[in-house]
Order: sequence, then C-alpha cells, then structure tokens
Amino acid sequence: MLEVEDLTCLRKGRALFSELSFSVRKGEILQVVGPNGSGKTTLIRTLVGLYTNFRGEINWNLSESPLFMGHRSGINDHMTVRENVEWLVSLNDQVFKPSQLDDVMKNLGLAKLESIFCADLSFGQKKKVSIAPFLLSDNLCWLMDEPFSGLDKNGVALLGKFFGDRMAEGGLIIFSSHQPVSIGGPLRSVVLS
Amino acid sequence: MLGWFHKLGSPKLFFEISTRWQNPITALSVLVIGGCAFWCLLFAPADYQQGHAVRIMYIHVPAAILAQSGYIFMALCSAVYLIWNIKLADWAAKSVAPLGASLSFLVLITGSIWGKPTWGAWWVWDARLTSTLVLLLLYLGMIALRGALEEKGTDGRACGILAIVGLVNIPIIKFSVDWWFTLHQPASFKLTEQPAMPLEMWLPLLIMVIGYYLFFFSVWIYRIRNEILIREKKTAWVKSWAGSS
Amino acid sequence: MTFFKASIRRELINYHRKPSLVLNPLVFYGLVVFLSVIAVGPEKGQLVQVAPAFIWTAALLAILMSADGVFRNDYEDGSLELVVVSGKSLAVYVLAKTTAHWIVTVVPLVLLMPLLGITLFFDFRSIWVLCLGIVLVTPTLSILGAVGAAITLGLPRNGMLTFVLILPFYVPPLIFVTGMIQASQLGEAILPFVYWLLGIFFLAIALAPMVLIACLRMAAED
Repeated sequence: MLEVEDLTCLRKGRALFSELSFSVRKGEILQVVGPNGSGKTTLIRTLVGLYTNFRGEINWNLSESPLFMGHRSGINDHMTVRENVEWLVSLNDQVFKPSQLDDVMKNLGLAKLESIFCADLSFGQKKKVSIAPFLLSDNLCWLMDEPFSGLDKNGVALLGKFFGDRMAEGGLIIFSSHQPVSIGGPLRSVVLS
Repeated sequence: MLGWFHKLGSPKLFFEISTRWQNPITALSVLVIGGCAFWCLLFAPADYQQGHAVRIMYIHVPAAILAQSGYIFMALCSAVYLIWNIKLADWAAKSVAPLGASLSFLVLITGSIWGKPTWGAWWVWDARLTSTLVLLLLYLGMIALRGALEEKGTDGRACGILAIVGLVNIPIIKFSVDWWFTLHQPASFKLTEQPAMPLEMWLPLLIMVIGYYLFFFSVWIYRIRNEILIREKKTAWVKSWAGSS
Repeated sequence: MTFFKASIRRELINYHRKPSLVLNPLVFYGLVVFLSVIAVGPEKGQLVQVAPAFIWTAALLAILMSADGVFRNDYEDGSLELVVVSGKSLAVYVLAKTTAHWIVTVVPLVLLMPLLGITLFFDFRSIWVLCLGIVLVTPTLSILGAVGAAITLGLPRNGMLTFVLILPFYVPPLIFVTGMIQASQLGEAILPFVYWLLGIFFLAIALAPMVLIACLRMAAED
C-alpha cells in the first residue's frame, strides 16, 4: 500500500501542490485529476521517485518497485514493436512465454505490426506498445501518467477493462487523466487544482 | 556542528555576516598587498641570475597558489551542495569560477612577462605554465556549463559534479604534464629550480600570498552577496534591505 | 548479466539501424587527417614527424563528437527514466552504452589505421604501435566522452559545450599515448606507457560510473 502525507512539491521555486495526503491500498485504483499545469505529472513522478524536490512523506509498502509509464513513451523509434516490448519487459525482470506475448499483442491490436519500426507508428499505437509490458508483468502496482491519452475508443475500453481485472487481482493503480474514465469497478480520485 | 552549518546556509544570515566582514577584509587585503608590494619592489633582494626580473614572482606565485586553491574551494563548495543540498554552496561555487579563471589568466600573463627576460621568449611550454593553462581551460568549462544550465533554468548540480571530476583529475593532469615536459627534453634553464630562496625573498612572498587570499575572499564575498541578492530578490528581507540602503 | 546483454544488444541494434552514427565519425576522422596533410605538405620527412600529432587529435575529436549523443536518444524518448525507475543497475546500463559506443567507433578506426599509416609513410612497426595505442587509449576517451555527454544531457543542443568541458581531461591520455609512439620511434621501451594508459583506464572505469549515474539521475528528474 501507499501512504502519502503532507506532500508539497516545489518547481522553479513555486509550490505546485501543497500538503497533499492520501493513501491507496491494494485492490484500489486512484485517478489523479486536475487541469493542465496542476502538477499531475509531477505527482506521479514524485511518487515513483524520479522527482526529489519535495517535502513530506511517501511510504511504499511494496516488495518490488512499481511499474511506471511516463509522459514520454520510452519507445525507441529505430527498433521494431517487438524489440521495444522485449526491452521494456526486460527492464522489469519479467519472464514470459512467447505465447503470452503473442496474446498481448493480439489483444492490443499490435499483432500485425510486430516487425514494424516504431517511428512508423501513430501516437496511439505507440501508447499501446508502452502498455504491453504492463500486461505481461506480474507486478500489480502501476503508476501511469496519462495512459488514456491518444487511445481510440476501443483502446480506452480495453485499458479500462485491464484496470478492472488488475484491481480484482489485488492490484494498486495510480494514474493521471483529465478525462473521466470508466473502469470495471469503483474509482477513487485525488483532485489537484 | 551540522546545525550550525545549515544555519550558515541560510542566504539571509550569510548575507548579514558577510556584509559585516566585507569591508574589513577588503581594507586588510589592500593594506597587505599594497604594503607588501613596496617591500617586494624596493627592499627584497634581486636575484643574482635574473636580476630585478625576479620581482614578478611576487605576483606570479601568489596568483598561481590562489588559482589552485580557488579550484579546491570551488570543488568543496560543490560537494557541500551535492551532499547537503545547501543552495548557498552552489552560489558560492558559481562565484569562484570567474575569479579563478582571472587568476589563472594572470598567472599565464605574468609567467609570459617573466619569461621574456629569463628565457628570452614570451612563451615557453614550461610544465607549470602548461598545467595552469589546463586549469584555466577547466575554469572556462565551468563558466560555459554554468551559463548553459542557467539558460535552461536548472541548478548547478552538473557544475558541481564537473568540479569534483576536475578535482580528481588535476593531480593526474599535473603529473602527466610534468612527464610530457621531461619527455620533450627541455632547455637547460629553468624557472622552477632556483637555488633555495633566502629568507628576505620568501618572507615577503609568504605575506603576499596571505594578501592574495584576503583579496580573493573579499572579491568572492562581493560576488556571492550579489548572487544572493539576485536569487532572493523576491523575498521580503531583500526588499527591505534594498529599501533601507 | 542478462540486463547487460539486453542493453548492449539494444545499443548494437540501434547503431545497426543508424549506420551514420558509425560512419560519420570515421569519415570525419579521415577528413581531419586529410586536411592536416594538406596543411603540412606532402614531404615525407616532415609528414612522418608530424603525422602522429594529427592522428591523435583527430581521434580525440571523432570519439568525443560521437560520444556526445550516447545518452541523448534515451533521454529524449523517455527510456532513460524507465531505466532509472526500474531499479536496474545504472552502472550496468552505462557500461553497456560505453562498451557499444567503443566497439562501433573504435573498431573501424583500428581497421582504418594501417591504410592511413601507409599513406602517411609509417613503417610497419609504427603502425602496429599506433593500433596498440588506439586500443589502449580509446576506452578512456570513450568513458570520458560519456561523462561529458551525461553532464550536458538535457541542455539545449550545443555540440561545442561538451568539447569545452571534456577536452582538458583528454590531456593525460594524449600525453601518454603520444609518448608511447615517440618512444617506439626512438627505439625505447613502450611498456611504461602501456602501464600508464592502463592505469588511467582503470581509474576512469572505477570512478566514471558514479559520475555517470549521478548525472543520469539528475537528467531523468526533469
């Protein structure tokens, strides 16, 4: 579980948000809501440990580090879809069977694109590539920055369903989004102003 | 100990203390350097080989010592910033760089002027001059990096890392340049191997070095006070200070 | 170890897909040497004496120039922050990066050396020592170049800055490697220089990862 107490983040001398407190337990999904510039990205980056200029307490009670999807995709344009997914998965120490990978690719609608260079993908397709390692992982704790942006209707529905599945398995998901999202279950939210 | 350290890291407190020290240090440095200059120029003995040309040593050597100590000081400030995240230390390091660069430049210029009567040439690739040239280049690199960082609006951590890398490297560079110098079979006359200096020469030199240290810190305090005022211009205490003076 | 393999494989794939990254330093290297020959003049006696100087200067510049982009792609596409977050060893990551960079820029350079040596009237022994020198000195140059790239990571693209920062640090390796060539030309022992170059390399590889990791974490933060 995650406990955040009195979190204040400073950016260029200005407090983005101050004295934020919340906690998330296993089996819960937390949506970080707020207008542009309210610090959604910074909050996610702070929680994952990328951003260190903060005051307050962040306590993770986890055995492994959470999976992270950033604002930038982390996808290399000069590698194929499959090479990218394999690299991203190798970062998470995940062992999987080739058939599992095939399933995930098929689910995401990437099966036919596997050997295409990522430079040739659209933004939404790239998003799907960066979602793939999440589906191949046993890690139940996800931190995602704007995972829904750029996805088409089917993609949004699909990711929402994945969220619901993970929650049922006892997952802990925190994501940011400025649009309302429906997932298969209750959704808590933190609002930044 | 650490508490005291952090307290001094408060820009406001440091500004107040350094303001108090500013004038005495400046006055003292003018006094010591000015007084000692008379001693060096008029009363210290001339060298039996180099004649009066040796007197340029009283500028050259202290500047060289300060250029090197300046780098160490800058690296220490950077380390303090990187370890304890005290912003003031970053500003302190920033204030040293142009000062150190000017001093190394002064070393090169005086070395060259000294070289003319001694070696018969304005420039000789002497090992010490070459290491000082590298030191100057390191300082210039620091200034360039600082400029690029400020353009982007980030703090000086990259500068701090570079300063520490430089500190590790300076002995290696110095050693390798010495090696290079011996490798190239220098001419037989040397600036560096004079007969042991008599007391009448090294005593004024020592005092000159002290004078240079005072000068260094007085200019550094000017610079860092400026830096504090710029960085903290939005705070209440700077506004009230500016209003009162 | 698997992470090292995965990283280095990824690097090599990238170099393979962008051959200009491998070719440009090489062409640049050849051009600098060529221009220097034009400047010095074609006379054999003079060339043999001066050639080592520009062979090394060109090598320093070519390596530094290509090292400048080692982390840039990963920084810009966000891979770097994923590596930082994943908890994987950043030391392994930077080691893979610099090893791959060294392989793809230096191996062609060594292969080019005999060809260059002949056109510059070097004898067989000098060419051999030249290649040995390149193999010994370039890992250090590659590592230092990576340090420069990491320190300037995230700053506005400014090719000159890395040069200004890192070239002073190239002084010791340059001194020892030219010393080695000279010693060999004078028929003296080159072993002391070999030891020195190795010493500098071990020092660089021991200390540089700390610096690189600090810089990469810093770059990933913004």
